[in-house]
Amino acid sequence: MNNLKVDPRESIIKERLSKIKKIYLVSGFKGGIGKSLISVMLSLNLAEKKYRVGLLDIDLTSSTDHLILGCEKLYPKENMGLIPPEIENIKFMSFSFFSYDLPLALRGNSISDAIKEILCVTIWGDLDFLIVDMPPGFSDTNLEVMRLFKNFSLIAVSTPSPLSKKILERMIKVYKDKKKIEIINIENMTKTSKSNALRYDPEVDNAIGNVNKIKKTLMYKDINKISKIIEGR
Amino acid sequence: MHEWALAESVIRTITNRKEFKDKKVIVYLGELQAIELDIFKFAMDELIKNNRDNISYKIVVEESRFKCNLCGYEFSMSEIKNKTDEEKENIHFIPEMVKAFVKCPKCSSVDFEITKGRGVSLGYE
Repeated sequence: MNNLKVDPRESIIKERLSKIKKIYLVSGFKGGIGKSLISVMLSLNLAEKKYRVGLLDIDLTSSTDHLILGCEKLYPKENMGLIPPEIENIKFMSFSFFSYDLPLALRGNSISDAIKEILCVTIWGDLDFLIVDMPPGFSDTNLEVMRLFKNFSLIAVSTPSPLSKKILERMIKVYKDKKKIEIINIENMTKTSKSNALRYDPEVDNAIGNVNKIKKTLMYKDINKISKIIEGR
Repeated sequence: MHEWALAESVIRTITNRKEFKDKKVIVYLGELQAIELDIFKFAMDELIKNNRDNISYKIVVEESRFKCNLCGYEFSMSEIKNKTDEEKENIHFIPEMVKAFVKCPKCSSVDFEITKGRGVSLGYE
């Protein structure tokens, strides 16, 4: 007998992700800049175009994608693992299914363990795109996702605020230092329409929880530009 | 049946890592995750049948221990009994969800660590 303790879960994560053509992490490192709305709208838009889409809300402590989609009562099915429930033809997985929106006080190792667990047991199957809604900051979740996903592209979100841009600039350096990854820059909450910009739309708040209303917003109209960029890659 | 997914990861690890070659593997199952032993064993045995390696293993259920980060109190599963079936199932899928449903029995803090017996890990004899 020896003291060796090996975590078996990482060995299977690569296989769980193997049928996904492209993984996009939606990140901006700063809170309140619209990462979740962009993740959900992008998933809706790509699914509307008949792509096979998965959406993973990997924000353990403040997940909101289920609220935006208005699907608080969904729950995964068990079949040789966990099968993500579908909404609007999107395979959707979120920690909120398991935490019931109760606060989760998680520190380093627990965050890493929870992420490994969900990636080990989720059976995504064949997907064209997996959109991953990342939490703000650049600590445990971000580092663990970068380590476990290996191949991914980054949708880097900022706003017209110079603070948001400054933080994004700083954080992108870390990604670039790690490896060569594809980065798509998006500016959210803008006043004017530019190719990589999403216009500020006060109606978005009133549309939360209602997919039909979301699809009628100016922001959703603009998100089509981003999905076209993705389709072209 | 999510036990299958965990069993798959166990077999893959045993097959891929040379330190397990020709060893009797110990599969530690944390009390917290409440793995269904019969299903897990069945999944393991089915996967072993289809594996080229000669794998032998035994299962050890590991007692779970927790430590409060606020008051330092250490506690076990016997002190956190009052959970609904739904809460138990959520902890079964993602053991960290225990932090959504359980508080330190002494100071009611939600900030505690799982120090032992969380989920699946592997060793050998």
